[in-house]
Amino acid sequence: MVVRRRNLFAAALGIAILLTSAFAPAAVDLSTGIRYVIPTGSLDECNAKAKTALDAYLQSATQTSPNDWIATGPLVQVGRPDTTASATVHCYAYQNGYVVTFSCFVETPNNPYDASALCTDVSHNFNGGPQTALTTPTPMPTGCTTANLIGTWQNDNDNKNSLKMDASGELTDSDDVIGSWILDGNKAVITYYGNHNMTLSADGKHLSGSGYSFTRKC
Amino acid sequence: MIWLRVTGIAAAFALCALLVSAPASATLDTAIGQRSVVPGKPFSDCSAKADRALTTVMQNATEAGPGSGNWFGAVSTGGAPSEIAIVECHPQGDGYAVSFTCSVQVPPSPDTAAALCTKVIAAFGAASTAATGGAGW
Repeated sequence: MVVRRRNLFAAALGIAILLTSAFAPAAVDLSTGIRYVIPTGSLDECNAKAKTALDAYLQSATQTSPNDWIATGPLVQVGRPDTTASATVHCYAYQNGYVVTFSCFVETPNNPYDASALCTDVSHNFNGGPQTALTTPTPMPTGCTTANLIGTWQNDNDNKNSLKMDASGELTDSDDVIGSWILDGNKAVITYYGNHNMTLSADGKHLSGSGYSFTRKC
Repeated sequence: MIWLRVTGIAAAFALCALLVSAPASATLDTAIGQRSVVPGKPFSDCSAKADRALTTVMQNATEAGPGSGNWFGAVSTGGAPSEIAIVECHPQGDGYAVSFTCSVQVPPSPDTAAALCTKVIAAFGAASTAATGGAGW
């Protein structure tokens, strides 16, 4: 799509390439191709606007080299500390102005919005276009939910042994030994002195299997 | 006594191995590679080398819009893209500027984004050498 304006020739090729499958467990989603040609302006102007645009939607916009910018996110990471989104902005001198390009990456399905939405907002922030608020991560449910294993679990056979499982998939026992958890449906894999296949009860309160039995405090 | 210590150390190593083998949650790693300016070469030269470099490293290359000079390639793991590299070409002076951007999901990607970009940059340089017979760009 090519948009002509009096002071701005914007060649915005908004090519959102969804490289993911709805059934894939996780994938990188790419948006690239948004490009503006600014007929008059300096690279300093481009760099300043790039930082502002990235900081509006991601964290810690950083200039990796002259005229190259990167930021990661999402901006709000409720209970999900991993990076699941990033964007880059490149500025190039061109005639009496500059060219600026945008590329975005998000990890699906772990990010609350896709790469196209992110790049549209970042590029529109740059050129003053309309922006749509990005979806923020939904806080993970806690308590006796069947959606995850977050919480404190008491070993039914050893009152001195309990496991704290957190939103990042890590678990820590009462002696600070660490492991991890994964839940798929009601089937859990607990890595704690080996891998253990366990089953979560329908009320989300009991975890049993591989000779272990735990009850969640909730 | 020595046997007991060795056994204890072995058990400790085994325990560490079990715990370290814990499945890690995936994270997105993104990097920008070193940008270069190539004087005295046409824009089409950059596109051709971008195509060849991505095809070499990623086994595929697509231009995001015909003639845009914005090329990308993706590597999939289990049917889902886990590594993406972008090569951007822009006219500059009597030549062109080229930049590299990479993003990987770790795990499953064995490479960091920076390492992937290093491979693509090297392949772009090799494409230059192959094309010109010179010492690179």
